[in-house]
Amino acid sequence: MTAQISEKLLFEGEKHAMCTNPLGDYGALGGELPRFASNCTALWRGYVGTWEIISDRLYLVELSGELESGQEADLETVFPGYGERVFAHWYSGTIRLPQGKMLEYIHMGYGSTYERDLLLEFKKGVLTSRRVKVNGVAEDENASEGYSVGAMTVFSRENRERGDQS
Amino acid sequence: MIYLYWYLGIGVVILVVMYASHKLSSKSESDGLKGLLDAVNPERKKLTYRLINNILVPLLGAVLVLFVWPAALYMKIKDMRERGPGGAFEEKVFKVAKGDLLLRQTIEQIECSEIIEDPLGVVPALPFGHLNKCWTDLLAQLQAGDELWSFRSRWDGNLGRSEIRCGYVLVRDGSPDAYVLTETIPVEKADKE
Repeated sequence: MTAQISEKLLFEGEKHAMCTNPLGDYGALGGELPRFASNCTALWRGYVGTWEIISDRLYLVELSGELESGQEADLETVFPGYGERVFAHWYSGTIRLPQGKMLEYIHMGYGSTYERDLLLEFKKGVLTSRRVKVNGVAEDENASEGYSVGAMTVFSRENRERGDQS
Repeated sequence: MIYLYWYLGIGVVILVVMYASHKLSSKSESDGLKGLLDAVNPERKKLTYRLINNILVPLLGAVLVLFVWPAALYMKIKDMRERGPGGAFEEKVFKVAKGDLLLRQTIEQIECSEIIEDPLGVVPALPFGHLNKCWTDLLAQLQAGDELWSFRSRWDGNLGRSEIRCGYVLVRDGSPDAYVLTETIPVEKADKE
């Protein structure tokens, strides 16, 4: 298992790493998602989405991935007719935006901890509350700032088709 | 004293049978699974962990089976009953229970309450928005006499994550059947609400 590449969120003029996958909830509620190809161990879901909050509403504004068929996937692929922006009305839950220096690196999922988490609560795609959770202060002055992934294995297309990895 | 010998004798037989059954049915860890488990618990690589896990715990287990074999037998039978015919645990499938039904509603009432409004207009002007197909698929299954109800169920899934599931379900002859989900809420969050 490997730490996962985050989603991206544009919020209040800043770009944040977002350690939540609202598109996964779309699939869990019955929405049809194409079969994304996993190109590396740090991106098992096979895509990276860019999200934006405008007037307290969560929108998916960009999607970048590759399908198992080899076709490039974007927003239009998943939401035909909505290639520019999609209102994430299906999403209810907490979005986590890690902030500050890294406290502990966990080589799995979004498990690494950071000095703070900005937690945004959504109800059916609408931001209802926010809070900051303080996790501690990094003792190491040289600790890395912001979300990062330590290492990954990249699969070549040929090996992926054979079921191997390189 | 003879009763004790009989008791321990039966324990030995049960221990041998259970050990053989375990050896026949268990699979060794694949490299992939081993890597995953090692990542979750780095302690697994340590000698002390391996000694405890691979020697001490099985030894204590064997002693326990020998002396309290009625309990071990009960647990084994319970385990076998929980497994499917193929010997593997059956994946749980979510179903709406009768007790989870909230309110009977008409198609019009549901469609009216599930229209998604968005100032930027980037959602279909249809009930359930981008999830409209789930709704039309449910409607396609409706037969004469069927009812539609809203529901709220607790779901303890296969991965140990409990959540509250809300949506609408088709009720046929008094029994909940096909459904659409509108929301899933982790249980710890639902408790706060």
